[in-house]
Amino acid sequence: MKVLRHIGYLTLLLASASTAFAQRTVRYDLSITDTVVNYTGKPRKAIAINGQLPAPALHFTEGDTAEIHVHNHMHHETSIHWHGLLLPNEQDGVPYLTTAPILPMSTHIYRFPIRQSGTYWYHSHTMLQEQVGMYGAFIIHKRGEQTANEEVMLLSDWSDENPHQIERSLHRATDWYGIQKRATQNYGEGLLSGHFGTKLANEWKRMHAMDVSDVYYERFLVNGRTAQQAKYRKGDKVRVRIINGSSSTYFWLTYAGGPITVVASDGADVEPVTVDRLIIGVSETYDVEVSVPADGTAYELVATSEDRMGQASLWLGDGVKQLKQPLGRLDYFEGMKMMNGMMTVGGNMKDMGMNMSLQQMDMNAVMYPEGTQPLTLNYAMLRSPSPTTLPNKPFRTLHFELTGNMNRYVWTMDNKTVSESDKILIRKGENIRIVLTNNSMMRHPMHLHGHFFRVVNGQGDHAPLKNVLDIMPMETDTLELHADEAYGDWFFHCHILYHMMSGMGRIFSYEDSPPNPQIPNPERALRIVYADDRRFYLGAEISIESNASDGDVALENTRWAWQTDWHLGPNNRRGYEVDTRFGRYIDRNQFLIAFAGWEWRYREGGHADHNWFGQVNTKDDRDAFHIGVQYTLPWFIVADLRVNHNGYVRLQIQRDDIPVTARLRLRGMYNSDREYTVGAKYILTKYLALSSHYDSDMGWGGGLTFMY
Amino acid sequence: MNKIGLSTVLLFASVLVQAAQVSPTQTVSVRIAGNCGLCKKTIENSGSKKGEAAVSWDGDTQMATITYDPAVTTPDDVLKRVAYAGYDNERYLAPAEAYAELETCCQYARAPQAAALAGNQPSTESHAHGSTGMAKPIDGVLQAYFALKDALVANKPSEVPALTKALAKQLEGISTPEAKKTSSLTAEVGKAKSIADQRAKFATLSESMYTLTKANLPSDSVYYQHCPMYNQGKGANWLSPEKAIRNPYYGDMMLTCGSVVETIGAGASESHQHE
Repeated sequence: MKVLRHIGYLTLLLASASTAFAQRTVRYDLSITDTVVNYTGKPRKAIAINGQLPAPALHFTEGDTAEIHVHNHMHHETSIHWHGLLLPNEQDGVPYLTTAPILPMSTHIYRFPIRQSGTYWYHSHTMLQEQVGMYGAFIIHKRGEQTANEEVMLLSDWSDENPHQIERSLHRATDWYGIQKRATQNYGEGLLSGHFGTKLANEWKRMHAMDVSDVYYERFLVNGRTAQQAKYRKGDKVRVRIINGSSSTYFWLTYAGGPITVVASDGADVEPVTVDRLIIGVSETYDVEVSVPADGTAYELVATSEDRMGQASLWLGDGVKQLKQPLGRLDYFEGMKMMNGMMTVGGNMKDMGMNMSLQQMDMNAVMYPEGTQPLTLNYAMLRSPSPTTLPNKPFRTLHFELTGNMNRYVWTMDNKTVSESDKILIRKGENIRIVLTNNSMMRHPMHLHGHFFRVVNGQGDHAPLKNVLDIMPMETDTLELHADEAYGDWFFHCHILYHMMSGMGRIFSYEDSPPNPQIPNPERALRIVYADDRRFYLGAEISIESNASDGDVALENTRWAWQTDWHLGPNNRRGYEVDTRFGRYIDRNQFLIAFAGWEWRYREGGHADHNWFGQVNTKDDRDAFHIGVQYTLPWFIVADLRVNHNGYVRLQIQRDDIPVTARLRLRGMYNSDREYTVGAKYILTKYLALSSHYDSDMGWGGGLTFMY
Repeated sequence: MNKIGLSTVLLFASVLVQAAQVSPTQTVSVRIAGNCGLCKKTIENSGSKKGEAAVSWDGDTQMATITYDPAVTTPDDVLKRVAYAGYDNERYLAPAEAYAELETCCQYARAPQAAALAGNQPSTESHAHGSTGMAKPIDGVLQAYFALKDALVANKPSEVPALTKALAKQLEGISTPEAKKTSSLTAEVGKAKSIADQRAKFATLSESMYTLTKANLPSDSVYYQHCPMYNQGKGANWLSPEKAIRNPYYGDMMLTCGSVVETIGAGASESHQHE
């Protein structure tokens, strides 16, 4: 009996020990507050977690259970997504899709077992909160892993501008960011550098000034600062966990102390591969090893924004600072020339039979002053240390074409936004093969929630595992994954924040998923998810000049547009004219819009004119409904053909914003009523320009133009 | 003088007074390395910035005086610019590339830790891992072949003829029919008139080199690599001592394009299927 009791105790002891071992619960409390930061000398609103920006790094060990209490002290709702983590669907943190939103002044508790190790991160998945500071590192150590000589390098981009203004401006095709980057690629510059023809051909193919990124950022940050130092001694080998937590910036990584050895990507180990440099896509992570060659010196590990407008540094070592040669300014006209060769007038990308894939051929290299001599990492060089073959199950292949419209900033897959497409049903236990082709002009970091995929890259059974795939224009890449989660909806989307918000994504949904207790009303919740890419953006350009006020105001979303324009003279003799219309973009490239609307004009003492079609009109009094189409011709000439309810026909051609110098723009208009306008504006600020124009009805005038 | 004229003059006068009120500047003395008069010019021009800082450098003492406006800049900013221009100083060591671009007369003796960095690139690393120390004839052949490949990688057609002769000489060490064939293909590369032609012939040579290497396993691992794009998508292969891709068929344009198809020799049993 006694022996038995002893055995009983022993069993109990063992059981509790193993429980403690397997289920160490690690708790973090995250308090989210509105805050004010100052990176440039100007105070700006931001969001802090536990009083800091970026959010604190969370550390776990594989096998732990994470328990994270998120306290929202803001007056607006929020969410946190655990990027790259394998977890139950309702813990994934996409508000309204997988997880309840964290309402103002409330607490949400996340709890999930940690089933993996490596470098990950977390961020808000609500609107544009990530841009203003809601991101932090999520580090999972292997059991028994030594953590000395280890640094986290969390990269981000900071703009003093409110992210909602950035987003709206992108949808208005602002060239203000180009002006700030000195990258307008105007005709004057083209003429001086012998690239006038290149620019002409580029606009003929309906492409605006080209760039590798769309937003101008004032600062690039490493762990929330422009530079940071960590002290090391000669011979130390440092593992740097690099996380790209930026909203829309890719970074080049270069090191002043020698080559860089890549040892993991997106949290998954790869066989060490040594390179001169690598590019890290938005939301990717790379673990690298670098060594400190000498004492008394700090070596610069530099992250340079892909547009090369700025950099952030992590100094490794101690003492005098060894700089790394900065990456030279991009040669945009060379890039333009390349794009001219790749783009058809019809707006398609053609790869000239080169079968591009896996970042192996960086077409942007034509713009790099340093050429391609530095050995650069690409996906074909990543190899998993262990086989990553999937269970022997049948494959289902899904093809996606990444599509986009730069001018209207509409980003889609197969020309459809998230809200315009159905969820993609997948079955637990099946193998999925995703073939992605990028037919847009930008690169896209495509991220899949809650799963790793293997990137088919010529490494056979050892294809690397990732959860983000950067795909360059014209590339085709193949991903394979096993649907091994139990249930739920998993987001697959471009991780450039402004692309995601415009609808570039899909939802993978496990068949026969049980109801999600965090989403009590799924239909309504899905409408809220879909609302993100259905939003309308307001834009306007209004001039107040001595001869008249011209204006146009537009409210547009992915497909629909409500546009109003006016010409208001100073008196009844010069007259007044207002035109408003509601239309829908028809074709894939959104060159064509069909509309219906109403026009009104009034003036005194005019005379009757014959138009091109022999119809007579006094222009003195018109009040008519019309229908018509607008088509953007090569060289951005917009043709507008309409007929009103009296059968009166008007054809108008117009070209706005011809970039002559960095800040000077010309415009012109002519129509079948034999009316014409020529004008010029000189851009002073993002919202203000000096302007002048001549109008066949209104005469010459000068004044100011407000742009919104 | 009318009223407007008077007020304009007053306005100008007040602007002048404002401009004359120079904000208090500070001066520091710092060490900047350099050699000659040309160095002095570059150091002073790169460090000085109108309205922010002025640099005056003395070549004898290697000391510079920085006069700066603390409201707008710091000596750190100034010294960083000087280092980017190629000159080591108290705070910053110049990037290796910036130093290398200096005129020969300006290439001062560098701090040891900076000098050690020059040439510290993965491409120049030794690849003698797993070497048995016993050189085989195929090892010499491969060395000569790699030199030829590197000339094509670096877009240096003029070096090719001499390198083909060196390869042909090494091939004499192997007396199989495949070696004879390889030797004649090598001569073809030597006779090619343009770099495009050299590359086309090199593609054929590489196939033969592959067969030869498979039959005579080398001491160190060799990577058989593939470029899917060459020759209008027909593709071409080559051998390399390193796993990382440095494509000989396109030069700068697509240097890192390609993939490893197979690893040959030195215990490499793995064979990667190219998909």
